[in-house]
Amino acid sequence: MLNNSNAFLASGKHTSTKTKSKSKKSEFRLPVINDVRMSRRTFIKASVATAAVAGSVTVLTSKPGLTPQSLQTAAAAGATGKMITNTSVKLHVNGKDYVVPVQPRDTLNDVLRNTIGLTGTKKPCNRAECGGCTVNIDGKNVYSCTVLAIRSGNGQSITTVEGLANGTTLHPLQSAYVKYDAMQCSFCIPGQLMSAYTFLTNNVKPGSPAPTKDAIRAAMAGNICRCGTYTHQMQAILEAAEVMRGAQPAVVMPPVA
Amino acid sequence: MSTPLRVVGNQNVIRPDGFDKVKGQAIFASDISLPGMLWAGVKMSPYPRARIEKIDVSAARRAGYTVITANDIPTGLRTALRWILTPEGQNVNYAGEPVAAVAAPTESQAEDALSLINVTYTPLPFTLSILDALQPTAPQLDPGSPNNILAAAGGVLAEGTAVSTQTRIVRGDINAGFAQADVIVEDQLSTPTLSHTNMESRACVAQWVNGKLTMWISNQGPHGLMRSLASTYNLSLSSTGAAGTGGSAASNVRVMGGGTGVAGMTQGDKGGLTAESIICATLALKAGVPVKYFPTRMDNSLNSSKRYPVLGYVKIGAQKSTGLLTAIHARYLTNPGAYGTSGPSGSLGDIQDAYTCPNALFEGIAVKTNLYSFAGAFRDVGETQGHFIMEGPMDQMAEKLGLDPVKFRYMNMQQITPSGPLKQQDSGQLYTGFGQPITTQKVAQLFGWDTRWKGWNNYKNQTGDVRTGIGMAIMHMNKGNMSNPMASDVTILPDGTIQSANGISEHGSGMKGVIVVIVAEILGVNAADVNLVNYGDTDFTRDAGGQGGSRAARSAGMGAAAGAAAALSNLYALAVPYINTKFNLNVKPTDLSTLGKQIFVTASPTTTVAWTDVLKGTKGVTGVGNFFVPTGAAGNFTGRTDQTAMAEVQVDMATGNIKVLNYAACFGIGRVLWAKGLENQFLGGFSGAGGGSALYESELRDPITGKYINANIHDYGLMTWLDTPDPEKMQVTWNEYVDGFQTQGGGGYAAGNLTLPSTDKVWGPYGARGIGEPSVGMVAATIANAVYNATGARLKTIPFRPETVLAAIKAAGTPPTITVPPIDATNVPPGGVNEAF
Repeated sequence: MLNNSNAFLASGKHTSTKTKSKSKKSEFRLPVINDVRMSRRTFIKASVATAAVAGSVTVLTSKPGLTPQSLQTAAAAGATGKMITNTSVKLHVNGKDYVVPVQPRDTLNDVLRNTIGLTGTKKPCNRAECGGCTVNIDGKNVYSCTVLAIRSGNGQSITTVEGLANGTTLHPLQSAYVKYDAMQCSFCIPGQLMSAYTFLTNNVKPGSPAPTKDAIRAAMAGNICRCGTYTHQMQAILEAAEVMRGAQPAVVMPPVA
Repeated sequence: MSTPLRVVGNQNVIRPDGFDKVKGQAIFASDISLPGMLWAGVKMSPYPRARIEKIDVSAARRAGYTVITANDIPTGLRTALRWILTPEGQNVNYAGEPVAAVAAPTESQAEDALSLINVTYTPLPFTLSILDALQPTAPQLDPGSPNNILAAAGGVLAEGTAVSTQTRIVRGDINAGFAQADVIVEDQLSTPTLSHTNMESRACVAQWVNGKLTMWISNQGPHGLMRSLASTYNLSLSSTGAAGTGGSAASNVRVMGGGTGVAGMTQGDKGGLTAESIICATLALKAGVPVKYFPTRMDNSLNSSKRYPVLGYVKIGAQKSTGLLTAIHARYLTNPGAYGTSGPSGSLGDIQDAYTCPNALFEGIAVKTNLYSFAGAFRDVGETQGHFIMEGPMDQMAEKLGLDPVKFRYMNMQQITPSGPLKQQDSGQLYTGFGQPITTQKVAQLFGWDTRWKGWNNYKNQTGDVRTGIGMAIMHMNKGNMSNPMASDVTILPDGTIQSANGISEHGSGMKGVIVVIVAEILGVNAADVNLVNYGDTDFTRDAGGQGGSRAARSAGMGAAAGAAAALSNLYALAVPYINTKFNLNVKPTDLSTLGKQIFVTASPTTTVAWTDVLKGTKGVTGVGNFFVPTGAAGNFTGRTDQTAMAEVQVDMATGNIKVLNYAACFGIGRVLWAKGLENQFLGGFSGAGGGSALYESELRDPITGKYINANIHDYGLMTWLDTPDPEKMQVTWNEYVDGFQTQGGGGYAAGNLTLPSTDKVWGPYGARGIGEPSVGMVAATIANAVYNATGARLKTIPFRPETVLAAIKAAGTPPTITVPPIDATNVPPGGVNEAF
């Protein structure tokens, strides 16, 4: 099937310049983005500019040293509103408090990784499609890439993969993952561990029945592994569940070989 | 074997970096953070084909950002035979092609900076598909490739690069062969563009200090990249470095494979000198501070390499009376994208060596388009496509001949056995291997094929919407070569601590596990006693080549063996005088053995000394080992792996949904080195790229704008937890050939430098071959044949999404429409070239 590239070109519907949205004051139009990528930020910025809402727009600012005016002009055509510079938030992570500088647009994922330096939590997609950024917040597994850091400092208890072990004692999941080799490149594994941890912590207590494989699949379905380690992970989670429900005292590691 | 193996094949050996990984302490390149570090962003073309009129970076520069364009890239440099950053006046040839790059204090500001760059394009007509590109009215993408058929000369090529882009293999006379046949099968199948979609994108960090470039990067070959960067930026490498490869603290380039020798998955996408590494290093050079490039998921999807699409025509002929093939004609048209060139393009995926048919013509022809970036290496380069396209028609032939599909394959497959003579491929290359017959037999036993097979009428005998069936496929690959370099060094400290230094990368497939197993076996210790130090860091390790072509276990494994043997040899050199003095003996090194860090006289095992005694007062011993394959050697060092898979599927005729109930495979890999790793590769091949390519994955382009519309994980479609069969339904086995390169007590691998005589059959460390790739390529072919058995519908294109399955069910029994044209490729050398990746 021949493509209609010629018709497209002739139509003049394309533009080759940066994003411009022309709109009347109160009319909302879907922004025309001709860049090859449309990020959340670009979309939100352009939508906000289009809607021309006054006073409540957060204009993305620079680090000290770069002129805010040039960035404002360039990056938020048509937007008005006060500038919000760096603020700070107190995050409670793995039992410790961290008071960190943030910008309102920073995700919890970025603050954990880049500001606090807890790089165990990964960033494979940054758009809530893969689960590699999973952390536990107040007992729920959450994609940290879609949570804003400034909204995570209201007394929430955040647990990351670095917080699973109890001092030098590994969580049964961690031991089981090593035993069953439930990993390969392991870029997804912190997120997988956090989802498994959340599921087991919430559903398996001493005396509970063993979770079914289907229940495990459903609980873990928000975590992708491209290396395809699901089967080994299943085995590991089943054994960790045995420990957490008291059916065995610990994960039995293989003899040293 | 003279001594039973303790560590090789031991099921209890755990992954050496497993504990780091589960604690989140394994550092990847994207985790690296350095003072003053900037973040990179890349400006890309929105058009699939356009002329760049002007790149205006002035606003971005005025705002204080570091910006680079083609003018900043070292002169004339192109990689993968494409521009790193396309200059003004040149054409971009795929949507996503990079034209400029920036560095900014944060990732968000990098995006802001990109919006300050104004690029003016004149959009041009473009072509996305092979058949469109072959039309006489199609835009000509490159003057060096007439009719868009990728040519061997001219076009967008780097100077002096010999490019083999077409494949033509002729065997016997196919006209005569078809004339002899009384059963013919003719069909056309296709595969789409497929993406590695590695969870870790192509991240890197570059830092220049006092003229030395350090790069943290997930890259398959740290030392190779080091040399490429040195040549790119005109940097010196130390000649006192390891084994002449130029890596040492005195070199002006240091590559850290991953962050701490831990790298994310690559599946072939992160090899060699990548655009990301050059963009990152150039930005860092210009900015004077470290720069990190952590591509977004979309950036990564746009600019990584791809599994190239194939449109394949197959015609096979056989005789009913004998059940034997008389002729095979396969013409595969491949789409290398905008800048794909040698290697993957035109490759037949090794199908030509799968069957013993006396008359054959195999053609692989690459046709340039603007569909995507470039065809590159993706685990099972070409084999996934090649075997999916071939194994469906072979299955059809088996049915027409009235033969069980397994029996048909037995009768027509290559009959090699490891102890048999070397065979010669059409290209003249000699090979040996473990043989398809053994792998087929073993998996048939494991799967219970004979009791499960209900005949070709299985689908006719079922009612209701939910049907079940079984199917199988074979796959041959010319992979798992043993290739130079193969080096390592091993140090034994006075307290008995063992340190193994290796320059190859680890991406999760298990190289570290393989290394510790081999070193531990030779040194007589546990795998857990082997410490991997400076893993993948070029300043402190020797070059063992890169991961790729399933060569690593076999080649870098031999390098690890060489280092361990060398260290042991040096230890024995100290032990001999010590023992002779202590016990008043006259032993030689060959009289000694070691176990548990004790050295004993083999013939008299109670005469024993501890390593620590021998090393007391010394600084320890270091052994440097290199194995070399003689240049030009063929045959024994060529890899060839043969595998067979079988599956039971359940198909819902109303919804088109496929569920894999059972999957089994046998791999001809000779020896399992690290058992947990082997099983992991098998499972991962199914639950990762193999199953994904079969069931879900496909890159989509908008035909009007040429844009990549599903450049994300969700819409592209990866295998998930919900697709995983229960562990007991996944079964793997392998061929073991125990007569490989023998070790004798004390480490029979010679120490120091050794050139392996080409007359020996050298299988690999303890006889092993690699399994990194074989687990992926068979899945689609196997599932397709099982779906036929369940439904009577032939799947002619992957992925087998529900709508595709339903369409196939509807079309069942209708003859195929052949649209592959009878083109005769230009610039094809007679006799053809068999492209081994």
